[in-house]
Amino acid sequence: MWHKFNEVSYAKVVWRLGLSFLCSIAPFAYMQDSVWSYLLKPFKWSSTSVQYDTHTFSGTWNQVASDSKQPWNNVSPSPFTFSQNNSSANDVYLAYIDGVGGTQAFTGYVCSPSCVAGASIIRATIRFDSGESWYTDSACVVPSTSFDSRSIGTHEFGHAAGLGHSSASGNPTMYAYSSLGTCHLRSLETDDQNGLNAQYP
Amino acid sequence: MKLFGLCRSIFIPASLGVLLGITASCLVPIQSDGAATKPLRTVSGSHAPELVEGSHEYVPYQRMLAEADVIVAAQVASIGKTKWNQDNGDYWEETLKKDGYETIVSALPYYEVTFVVEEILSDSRNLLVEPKLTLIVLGTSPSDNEVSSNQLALQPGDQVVVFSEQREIGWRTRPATYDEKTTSIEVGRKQVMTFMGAPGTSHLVKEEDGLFHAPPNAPEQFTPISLDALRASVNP
Repeated sequence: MWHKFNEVSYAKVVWRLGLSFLCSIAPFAYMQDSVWSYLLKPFKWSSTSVQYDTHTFSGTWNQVASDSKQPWNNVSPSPFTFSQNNSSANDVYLAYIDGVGGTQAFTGYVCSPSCVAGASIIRATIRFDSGESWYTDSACVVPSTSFDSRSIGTHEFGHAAGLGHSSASGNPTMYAYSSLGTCHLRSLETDDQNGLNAQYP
Repeated sequence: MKLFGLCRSIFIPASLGVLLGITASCLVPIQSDGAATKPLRTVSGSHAPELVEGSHEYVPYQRMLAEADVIVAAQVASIGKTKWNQDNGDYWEETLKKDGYETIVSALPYYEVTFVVEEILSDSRNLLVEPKLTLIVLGTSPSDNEVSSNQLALQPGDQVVVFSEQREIGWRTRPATYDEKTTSIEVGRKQVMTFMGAPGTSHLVKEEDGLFHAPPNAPEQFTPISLDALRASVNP
């Protein structure tokens, strides 16, 4: 390899280096544009197949969890998937957080050895606020006084996958704030998909 | 010629090194939050979450001006470390069994933010009992953890206007129980003062121009406002 470098002219080497430099930075320069605003946690799962436990849920909420994880499973080409297995330690459940408004849900991480750059997530739990005014129907007709469980659920499964909040325009699912009476976070935007593809190529 | 060959042998690997370095530096801001540089507080042998991310309702400033229980002009006195939702602040967890499966119910992290009140703009329910306001914020403290985008970005000494409300939060006062009817887990509750809406946006910060500005991460355009104008807005 090194020998071959010596065989080409100096000008060609400089040209090739310059070209390869431009080619290597171009996509990243583009990704730093505001359009590409997903944020990855500095830690992630070591496996691309992650299971979760919803055994405390009713049938309605089981369906909410299933529908909420599905958009992430559909992201291509990422091989990352969530699947239900009630023996999993990744509990998804309803518990009181702070009542109507405020915080709708939390995702908590446990990492090995600690949640620092390069670490692996070994457990993620999603807690929905049982005191919230939830809309749990599948139809996208959310009352103005309720939060859409599938929208919040899809956002939380994104956290569980290792994504942070996005500052992209265009209503990404991983946007930092939730709103009453809307269901647009159910479907992933390009920014969300790019985030998962970057975390699990 | 030998000198030229020597230059080439130094230049080419050096160029490759520079190329790799620049490419790596391009990757850093995209692939990580870049803030988690120190080990976080852990609880040995437990399932304590080191970090939580949440969904928070965004409450517009006009609504906070109209509906907050307590609005004060104040100075940030302290931002506490992460504690857990029971009276002694220690981490707790319990294992609930149902249908042969287990759920590990773990503590919720919280931290306290204390303000020295300089002026009360609104306190219609007489909730302030001293010239100090301590808010409970659910989540991991920015003072010992990575900062997420809707977490608090205040520092002690900051001059602020704070929008707060009284709210009941999950607080462990008894063993966890599972309610078959609501399919939810309950550990008890406690009445606290907290920010109204998302912690990172439920305040205004006084800047060098003497006006109060919304934090940069607030999702609405908010025209910086003077304290006099805020007084007039709160008590029209």
